[in-house]
Amino acid sequence: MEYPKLYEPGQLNLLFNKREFFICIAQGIYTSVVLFFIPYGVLSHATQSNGVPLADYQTFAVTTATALVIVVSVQIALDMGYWTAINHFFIWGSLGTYFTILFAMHSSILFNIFPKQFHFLGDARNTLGQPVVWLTIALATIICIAPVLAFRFLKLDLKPQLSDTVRYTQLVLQKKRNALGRLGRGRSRRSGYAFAHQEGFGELITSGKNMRLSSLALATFASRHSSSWIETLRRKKHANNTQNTPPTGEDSAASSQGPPLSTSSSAAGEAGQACNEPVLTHSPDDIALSVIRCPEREVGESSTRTVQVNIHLKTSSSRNCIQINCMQVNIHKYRLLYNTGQRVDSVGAQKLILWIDIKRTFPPRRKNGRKQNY
Amino acid sequence: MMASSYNAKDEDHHPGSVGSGGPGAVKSKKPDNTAFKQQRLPAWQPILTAGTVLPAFFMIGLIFIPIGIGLLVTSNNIKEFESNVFMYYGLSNFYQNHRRYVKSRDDSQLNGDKSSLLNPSKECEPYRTSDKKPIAPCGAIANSLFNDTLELFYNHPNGSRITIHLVKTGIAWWTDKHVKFRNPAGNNNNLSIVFQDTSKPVNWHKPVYELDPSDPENNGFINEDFIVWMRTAALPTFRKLYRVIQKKKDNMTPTLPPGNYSLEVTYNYPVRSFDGRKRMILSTISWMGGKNPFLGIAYITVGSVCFFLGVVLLIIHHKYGNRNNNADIPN
Repeated sequence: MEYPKLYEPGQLNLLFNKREFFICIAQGIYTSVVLFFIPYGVLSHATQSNGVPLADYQTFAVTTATALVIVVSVQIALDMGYWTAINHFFIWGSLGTYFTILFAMHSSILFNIFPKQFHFLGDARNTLGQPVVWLTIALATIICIAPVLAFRFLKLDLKPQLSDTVRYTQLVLQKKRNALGRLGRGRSRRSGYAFAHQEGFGELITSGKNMRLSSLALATFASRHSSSWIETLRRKKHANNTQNTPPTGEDSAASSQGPPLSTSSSAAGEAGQACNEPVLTHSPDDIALSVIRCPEREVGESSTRTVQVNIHLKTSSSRNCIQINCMQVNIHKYRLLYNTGQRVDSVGAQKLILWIDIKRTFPPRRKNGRKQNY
Repeated sequence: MMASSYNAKDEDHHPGSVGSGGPGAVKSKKPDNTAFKQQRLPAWQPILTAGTVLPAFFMIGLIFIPIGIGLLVTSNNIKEFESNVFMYYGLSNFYQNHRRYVKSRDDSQLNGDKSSLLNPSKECEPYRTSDKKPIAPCGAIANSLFNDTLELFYNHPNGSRITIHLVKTGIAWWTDKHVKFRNPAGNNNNLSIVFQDTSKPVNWHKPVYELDPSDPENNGFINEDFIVWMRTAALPTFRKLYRVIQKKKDNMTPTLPPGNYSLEVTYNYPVRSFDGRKRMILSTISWMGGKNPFLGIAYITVGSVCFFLGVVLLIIHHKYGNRNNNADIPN
């Protein structure tokens, strides 16, 4: 779910509809025509080096069939974007199996058992030993594949879709990472955390949902703050404007309204609450983020406001840590979004995002004596 | 109060916690942390970038054009009649690739199987029996054997006619002659005994054991003209190897010196009923086989088209291509 937009083509039925189907049919017709007429043109006047003409029915058959298998394999290889060992095994394996079965069917052993069925005796070796035949197969392959390659390249170059960009980006980043850290073999390993999370938990926190963040999730989130995360949020529309929480907050510019800290899940009805009242519950064994909100100010007042944000992080598990001072919370940065630089006369929700470093001052929690991985 | 709980607890179910529960705990459904199951296998990820596709097109062009030129030069440079000369007979409008015709044979009979000799397969109908005796060889293909005789004479300037020696062996596939077609076991020198109780095909003038009485290795089913005919052609206009004119022992004189030649045809084979044509072809062969300009021209054409396509793609890529393939992921 890193790139939810990648699901769009599937939902909009963009990848297989009537137009795509007819394009496939057209390509199939073109390939069939090429695969028949190129061997036809070459073999109808070709001879072996001992004078025997190559225009017999069985030579024609073997040439066309081999060309077909090779063209299809190349087409599949073009479609494959990710070659693991399994892919290699099956593609080369299928080619090898074709040739094995071909030579087996044309062998004298099977002919001696069933002469009427296996009457292509000696054909494979005779035909595939002619250089003319291999030149024909190579020619047919190139004629079939070159247009496909050109179309794909043009499509990728002029109108790259999201999946193509994502794949390219992943590859570039993998290469950078390989070049930095490891022995740099240029291979990529897909992993679940190829990128930092595109959306951190800030949205969740400020959207006012009741939630419990596990210790691991919060620690991970806190230690990786990337700028793309901000951009994501910045580009989002005022979708969460409906919360119309009180406009309080500290601002750097004089004339903008401070953002509230909306943590309540209900949009209205929170006015008049005093400070110091936690609005987020926590549950046992979790590190809960409880955020305090201050009452709303009226619209139109002058600007400088302070907001008191208390972050209580505590575990209620009595095993390792009882109180809050097990954790040291540093708010080292805050930032205002939607800093319009002008007075805002209407209540609009703005968000205060806090970057929090959580430093553990004690060893991690243990469960039944086993070390937990964080 | 809108309470939607985001249950982040479930997402990192440690495998270590499985054992901690004891007999009553729920088994973890998380797959093993192997490279295969977590889809972390090392892989090669080819992408069609300009840096790979454009050089590929140019390379194809640069490889194919010389090959095409080489093939064309080889094909045109065959020195006429200086090494072995091959004599072919050609037929037009003769559909040896008709499905029912192609199936009308008995390969086990032709392999020398005694039981099939006297009891040919049903595929050979209606050329299976005649005069209440089984036909050997049965089938429509055998029945339509080409039986013209061609002879070549050189008209020497001093008036005499020199017969050109035509070799009639070595014209069939080795596997055909030695494995696929075998005479039934018995006296090789007197094949008529072997083939008694069978009758000749309907359209033949002489039975199968008289195809070449002078050479027991070329008589009966293993007669090379017969074998060549039984290898069905793919197209309605075809040619089959008839004879070979060996080159002279000293490589200086051409095999067929320039001059006046006459061809004598013993015309047995009827083709006018189906508007067919007969031809005789004399040809010399290179390693590539015969005078075949099609392949050379095709290679040159495809090579230049690929090169041209590469140039066009390069121009398009430069002008309109999206070179900005960096990590700009829209949302």
